[in-house]
Amino acid sequence: MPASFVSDDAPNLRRRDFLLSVGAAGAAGILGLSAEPLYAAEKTASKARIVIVGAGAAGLSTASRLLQRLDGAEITLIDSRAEHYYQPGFTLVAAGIKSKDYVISRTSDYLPKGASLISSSVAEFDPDAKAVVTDKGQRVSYDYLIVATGLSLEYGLIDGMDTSMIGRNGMGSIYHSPEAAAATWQALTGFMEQGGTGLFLRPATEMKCAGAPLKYAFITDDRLRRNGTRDKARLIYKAQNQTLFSVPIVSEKVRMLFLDRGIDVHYDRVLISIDLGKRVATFQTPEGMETESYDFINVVPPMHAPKSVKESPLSWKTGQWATEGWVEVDKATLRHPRYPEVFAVGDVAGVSKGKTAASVKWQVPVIVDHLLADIRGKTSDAIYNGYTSCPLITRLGRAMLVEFDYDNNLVPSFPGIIAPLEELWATWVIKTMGLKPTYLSMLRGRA
Amino acid sequence: MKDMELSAFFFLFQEMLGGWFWPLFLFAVIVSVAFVVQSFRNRNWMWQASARVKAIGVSGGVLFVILITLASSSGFTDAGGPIDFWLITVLFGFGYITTTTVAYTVCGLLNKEQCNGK
Ligand SMILES: Cc1cc2nc3c(=O)[nH]c(=O)nc-3n(C[C@H](O)[C@H](O)[C@H](O)COP(=O)(O)OP(=O)(O)OC[C@H]3O[C@@H](n4cnc5c(N)ncnc54)[C@H](O)[C@@H]3O)c2cc1C
Repeated sequence: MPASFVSDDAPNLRRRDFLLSVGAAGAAGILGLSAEPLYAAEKTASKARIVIVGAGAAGLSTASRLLQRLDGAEITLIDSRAEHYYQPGFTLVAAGIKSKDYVISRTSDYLPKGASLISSSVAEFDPDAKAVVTDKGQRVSYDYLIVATGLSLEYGLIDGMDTSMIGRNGMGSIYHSPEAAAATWQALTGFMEQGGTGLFLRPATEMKCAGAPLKYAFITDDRLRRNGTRDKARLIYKAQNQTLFSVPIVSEKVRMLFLDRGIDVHYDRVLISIDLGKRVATFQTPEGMETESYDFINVVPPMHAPKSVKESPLSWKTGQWATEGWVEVDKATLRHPRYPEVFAVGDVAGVSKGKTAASVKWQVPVIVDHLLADIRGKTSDAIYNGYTSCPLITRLGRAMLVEFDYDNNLVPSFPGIIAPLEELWATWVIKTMGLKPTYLSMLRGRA
Repeated sequence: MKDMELSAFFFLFQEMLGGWFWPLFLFAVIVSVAFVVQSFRNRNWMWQASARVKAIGVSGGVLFVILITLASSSGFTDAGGPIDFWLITVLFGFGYITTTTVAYTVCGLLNKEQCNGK
C-alpha cells in the first residue's frame, strides 16, 4: 500500500474513515470497476518510446495501465505541475463541506514505477517528425504519443475578468483552482447573509463536467434555505443556449427542479464581460447585449484546448471544434485520423461527450488496447461509447446519478436500483465518500 | 472475471482506508477466528447471545448509520427514494452484525456468563 494517500491526503484519518467504505461499491460503479484483467494479462515485450503529455487524471492512469501490460517500453510523462488536483472535489470545497486539502496531492504520489516524468510543459507538437518540444527547449521523440493535457480555462475571453479577485466583492469561480473554490465558499457565505441577486452560468464552449455550474446553483439555493435567508435572494441561471444540459431528458428534469426551487432561468445568455467593481455582468443574447447586476456570481470561463495543442497540426482545423482547438480523433477509438500513432484522452479529446473523470476511466482501456494491438501487429475492436457521468448534486445530501453516452441515452450503472433522475441520498453518499478513492484507484491503474 | 472485480474492490478499499486498511483487515481476521473458536468451545451460538450482547449490537447498528451520515456530511432526512431506505437498513444491519459478533466473541473469550443466553 503506497503510504502517500494516507499521509498527504488524510493526515487526520480517524477510525470513522473506515465507514467510507460504504460509498465504495457505488462509486466503483460510476467510475466502472475494471472487468478486464488487471495483472493477469500477459506482458508484451517492447522497446517502444511512449510519450504522454499531461500527468493529470488521464495521463497518470494511461501510464499505469501501459506499465501493467508492457515490458521494456520507455514511458515518459511530461507535465510542469507538481501538484495533483482531484477536481471533482472542487464543488464540495465551494459548498463548504471539505477543506481545500481534500483536493490537493502530488503527482509523484501516483507516478507508476518504471515511468519517468519530465517537469516541463510541451510548447510544440511536431507530429510529422514524431517529436514534442518542451518550454525549456528539450526535444522528446516518440513512437507513440498520448495527448492528455486537459483543457485551458480562458478567463481572458471575459472582458474585465481578473482571477486574482476571486472570492472578493461577490465574485466566485470554482473551476479556477482549489484556492479559488475555497474563496468562492467565502464569497457565498457573505451572500447567504446579505442576499440579493445570485447569477449562475456556463460558457458556450465545450466544458468539463457540464453539471458543475448547475450543481452550484442548487447548492446555493439549499445553503440559503438552511440559513433562513432564501427569501432575501433571487437566483438566476443563465443558460448558454436553449437547454440546461446537453442530454434532453436531463435538461428537462433540471428545468423542473429549478422551477421547484424558484431558480429563474434565462436562456441564450453568454457572459462576455464583467465589471468586478460595480458588480455588473454583461451577457450576449440573440437580441444584443444585456446587463445584470449581481451580489454573487459564479464565473465559469470559456474552455479551449491548451494553446500548444490548439496551434499544432493535431487539432481540428474545420468544423465546430476548430476555434476551441480540441485534438481531432476518431470518436470510438480516440486515435488521430492523420497521425495513427497519436491518441488523445481526457478533456482534450475532440469528441462530443466525455469531459469528466468518469469518462477517463472508460477511455483509457480503449486507447491502451489499440496501442498494444499496434505493438503486437494486431488490431483491436475496443471502442469508447461516449460514457460520461456526473453526480448532479441537487441539494446538500442528495444527488442524481446521471450517466449517458454519445447518443444521449441514459446508461445507468445500477438499473432498477439507483434511478438516474431521482434525487437520492445514496447517490450523495457515493459522491462524497466513494468517488475519490475510486478516482485515486484509477490513477494507479487499479480501477 | 468475478475475481478481477474483486481485486479491483480490494484496491479500492485500500485506497479508501489508507493506513487503516491492514490493521482493520487483521482485526477482522482475528475476530473471525476467535469467533469460531469460542463458538465451538462454549457450544454457544450467536443467536443464543444474551439480550445484553444483542443490545450492544443494536446500538452498534444505530451508531454505524449515524457515523455514515457524519462522514458523508448529510442526515436521515436526506433519504429520498426506496434505495435510500434500503441503504439505511443495510448500514444498520452491517453495524448490528459486526458489533454483535465482536461483543459475543469478547464475552465468550472472557467467559462472562452474563454475555450468553444459556
Ligand atoms: C469544478 C469541477 C467539477 C468536476 N466534477 C466532476 C465530477 O463530479 N465527476 C467527474 O467525473 N468529473 C468531474 N470533473 C472533471 C474532471 O476533473 C476532468 O474531466 C478530469 O480531471 C480530466 O482529466 P484530464 O487528465 O483530461 O485533465 P486534468 O486532470 O486537468 O490534467 C491535465 C494535466 O495536463 C497538464 N498540462 C496542460 N497543458 C500541458 C502542456 N502543454 N504540457 C504538459 N502538460 C500539460 C496539466 O498541468 C494537468 O496536470 C470536474 C471538474 C471540475 C473543474
